[in-house]
Amino acid sequence: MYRYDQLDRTFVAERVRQFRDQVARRLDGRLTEDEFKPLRLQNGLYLQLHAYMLRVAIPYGVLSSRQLRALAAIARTYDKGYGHYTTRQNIQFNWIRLDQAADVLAALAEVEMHAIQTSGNCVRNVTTDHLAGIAPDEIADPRPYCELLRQWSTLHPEFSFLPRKFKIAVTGAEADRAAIAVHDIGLRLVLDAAGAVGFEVLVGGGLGRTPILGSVIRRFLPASDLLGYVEAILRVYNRYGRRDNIYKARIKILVKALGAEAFGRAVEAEWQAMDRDGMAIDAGMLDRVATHFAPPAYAELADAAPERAQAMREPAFARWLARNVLPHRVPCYRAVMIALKGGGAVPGDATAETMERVADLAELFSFGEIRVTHTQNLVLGHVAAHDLAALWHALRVAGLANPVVGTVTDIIACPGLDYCALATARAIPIAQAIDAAFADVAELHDIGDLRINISGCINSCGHHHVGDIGILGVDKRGQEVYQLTLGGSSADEASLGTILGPSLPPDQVAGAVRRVVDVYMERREPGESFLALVRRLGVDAFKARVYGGLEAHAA
Amino acid sequence: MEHYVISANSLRSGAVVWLRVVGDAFGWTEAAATASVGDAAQRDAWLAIAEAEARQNRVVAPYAVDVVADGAGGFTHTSTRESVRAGGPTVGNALAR
Ligand code: SF4
Repeated sequence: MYRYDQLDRTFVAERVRQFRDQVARRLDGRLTEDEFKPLRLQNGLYLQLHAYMLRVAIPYGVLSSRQLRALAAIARTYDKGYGHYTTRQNIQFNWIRLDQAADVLAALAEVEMHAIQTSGNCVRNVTTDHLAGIAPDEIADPRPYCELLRQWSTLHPEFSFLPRKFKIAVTGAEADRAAIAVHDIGLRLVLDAAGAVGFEVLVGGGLGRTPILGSVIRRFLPASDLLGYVEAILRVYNRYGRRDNIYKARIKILVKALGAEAFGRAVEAEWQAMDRDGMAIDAGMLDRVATHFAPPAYAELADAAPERAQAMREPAFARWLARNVLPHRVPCYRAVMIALKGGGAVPGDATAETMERVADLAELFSFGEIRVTHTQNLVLGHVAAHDLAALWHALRVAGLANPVVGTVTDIIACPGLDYCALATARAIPIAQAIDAAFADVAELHDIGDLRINISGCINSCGHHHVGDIGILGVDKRGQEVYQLTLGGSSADEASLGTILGPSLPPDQVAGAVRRVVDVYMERREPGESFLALVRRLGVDAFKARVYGGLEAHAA
Repeated sequence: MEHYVISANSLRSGAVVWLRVVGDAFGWTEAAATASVGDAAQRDAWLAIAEAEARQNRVVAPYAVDVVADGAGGFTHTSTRESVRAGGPTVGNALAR
């Protein structure tokens, strides 16, 4: 993973010192709240529904065990003993005191972390495939490019006050696990006919109250031109993006207004006019960054699939293998997903104890590296197949072997009204109710892949538009109600969900999900995904069951 | 009749606090149940106190919350949002601690 050099270290330490001084001046009144608020937001510190919340960047979702331990220590010392992993591969602490916030930033700096650009109208944490460098279907490792983008965007003077926040996602694999179509810029590593590495460039995707899928503005951009081209996109956006209306300020609105083609032409013109050579990523630069992402020292292992024998004897192990263990590009290695879900868990929450246990296991079994997924789970990315049984036992003891990854109960949920000042309804209790309604693991496995995403307001941090089943919490005269959408997807052939029908009160949501799943189980063809069935039948087939069922219930 | 309580966050800790007024004296409490409940006239006077407190750097973002008074000095919230804000997260790790 990327290690700070002296420049990075000095810069981050300097920022901590500045913030400590700013907090002191706020507390003694030399700074007013209006003066201080932008400063605290620039350091990731929000005032939420109950308290200050600190959002910490986890660049492209990669953590060392040392960093994870530091996060655990922060949770224990400065918070109430837990943190929350978000859909942007970040972590949030919910209960940070202002008079201790600089101490937290100092503790983060010790392990080469910070909260810079986790808020505000700037380029946010660049996200990527949580299986980067691991997945067998990878064309090239996206992490060095993510790191170059991070360095380029950090405190970029021209892009510190964009019309609105700006999110970039990169995938290097054939299967899109980074949801690039719903980002301001989505980048997909591709090869041209000659085998050279480049990017397909999408712009103008996003969720929120105007969900739009990104449009391709370039089929192939040579990888060395990445920074210049992205800079050109940002320039066009910075110049023409709307600043008069916060709801129309994201790049997606500009791309829609101009049309993707015209927007693409404006970017090309900007790009042609700039010093492209000066912006080019030369081989030396890429190599220097890439050394930080060199593969760990994998052993040469002989046995092709040692886990199979044990799976024959242990059905629970077999279930875990089936859902939580993924193939690795290196023979005899596997990626192991740890679901922060199920059993009444708050999606994405992890206690200090859990983080420390995962750090231990990462050191024992996975070269001390941990990934955070945008689905709010953790990954141990490099586990030798012959260690799987031992790891499974250890995870089981820690309550972390829930074999539900990718199933109905592997729910994405934003903090919602339990924490978020912008929320219109709670999201977590809905996730827990669905979790309780689908407690039978055998049934979950029978249903198979099915993504449920829940947002507590139209800002859509819970990605409800792109869930197989999306759930949006809405405020109706002070009461919480929930709107269901079906048929969303953030993967390849991304699509936005279609609203199923009238909103439901909280106690009817899990039942409605149950009836939707019943329709899927009754009507699916062998191998047919939920998405394919919704596309084949249309939502009306589900609507009749959900709302018909409710009438029957009421009668 | 309409009733209100005044709420804000402590500048230093971030905690949700409530204005409690006794005669000419006032203070901030973290226990919602001990907040003072006032009518529309009191609301304006108390909000002025709260705003002065904000200028004194003790609290941030004060505002008046609509409530239903029970007639005995207590009250209930009218929206889920305000009751969650007063009671804390309704689920999960926050409850255990
Ligand atoms: S979707 Fe809304 S409620 Fe959920 S975290 Fe985002 S802003 Fe908050």
